[in-house]
Amino acid sequence: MPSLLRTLLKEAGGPQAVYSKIERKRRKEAASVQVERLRRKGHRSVLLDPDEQVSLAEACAENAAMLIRTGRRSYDPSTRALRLKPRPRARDQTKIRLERSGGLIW
Amino acid sequence: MVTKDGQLIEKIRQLAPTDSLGSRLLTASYVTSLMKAEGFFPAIVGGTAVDTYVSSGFGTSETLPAEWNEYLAIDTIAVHVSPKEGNPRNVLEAAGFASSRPEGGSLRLEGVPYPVDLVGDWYPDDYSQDHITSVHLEPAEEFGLEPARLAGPEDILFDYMESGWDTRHPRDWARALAVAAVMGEHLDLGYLFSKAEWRMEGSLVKPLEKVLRGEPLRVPE
Repeated sequence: MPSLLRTLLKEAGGPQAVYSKIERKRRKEAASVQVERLRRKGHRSVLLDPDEQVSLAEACAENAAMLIRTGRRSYDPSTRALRLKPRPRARDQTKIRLERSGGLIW
Repeated sequence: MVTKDGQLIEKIRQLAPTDSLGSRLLTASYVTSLMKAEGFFPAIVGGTAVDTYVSSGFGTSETLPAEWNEYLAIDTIAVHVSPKEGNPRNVLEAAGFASSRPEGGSLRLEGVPYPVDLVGDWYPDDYSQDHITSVHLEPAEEFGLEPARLAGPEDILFDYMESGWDTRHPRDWARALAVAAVMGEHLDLGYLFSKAEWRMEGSLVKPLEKVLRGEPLRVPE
């Protein structure tokens, strides 16, 4: 029997390959159980559809580009230093006063 | 120093309601400074690292998409520490951080809304020390703090890509997509692909290619 096992193991690509297959199958099964559990609970992480995933990533990229343009984010790849500046204080709201017929409209 | 620490904690506390990321990064800089003074080198991993790479803006919540905050559990700063000797936990406890559980767990500092989780006492083998990124924050510099150190965007992208792929978790996958979209040209692709070849016998090369192409994860019905 052990020699039969050895032969089968060899034909399957060796112990490492067999272990890898088992591991992949185990992970896949565990993943589907987890997904099912989250679906039952209505977990939003599972309900995020493919378009939402992409649009979320794109929105992040747009935001980061805006920060770079406005000088609030910079990254130096040679030193791997990320420099962040806070948002400037909002300027006092400029009020436009218009006087019309003696009344004040702004 | 006590007064200065008091002012810092007040600043962290003030930022928290409107600017979670800024508050967490200031806390991270404080933790880094405390640990570095004792010979430890922490690095931030997990949700705070993702948020920083994909947003990196603070002072407002506008730097993350509106949908982003809604789903994230990002109240924990995870720190990997590479000590030569001693215990990094003791360093934080000496500075007033405390855990509500005697056996360990998250450390909290009174007045600071975010707990610090020490998720490891050594930099893991599958993370690269060469890819660590330092985060320079103006408010942290005003307090004379060290820059916070983040595990590299490559390692963070990889973590969330692997988690998304293994558990079919679209939210984690979206985080990996976002890191790839924002850090794009700065990512060390050679490192990423050699890691993908090495991990799980190369089974992560395909998902890595998907992330870098910006493709979503489709969870089977």
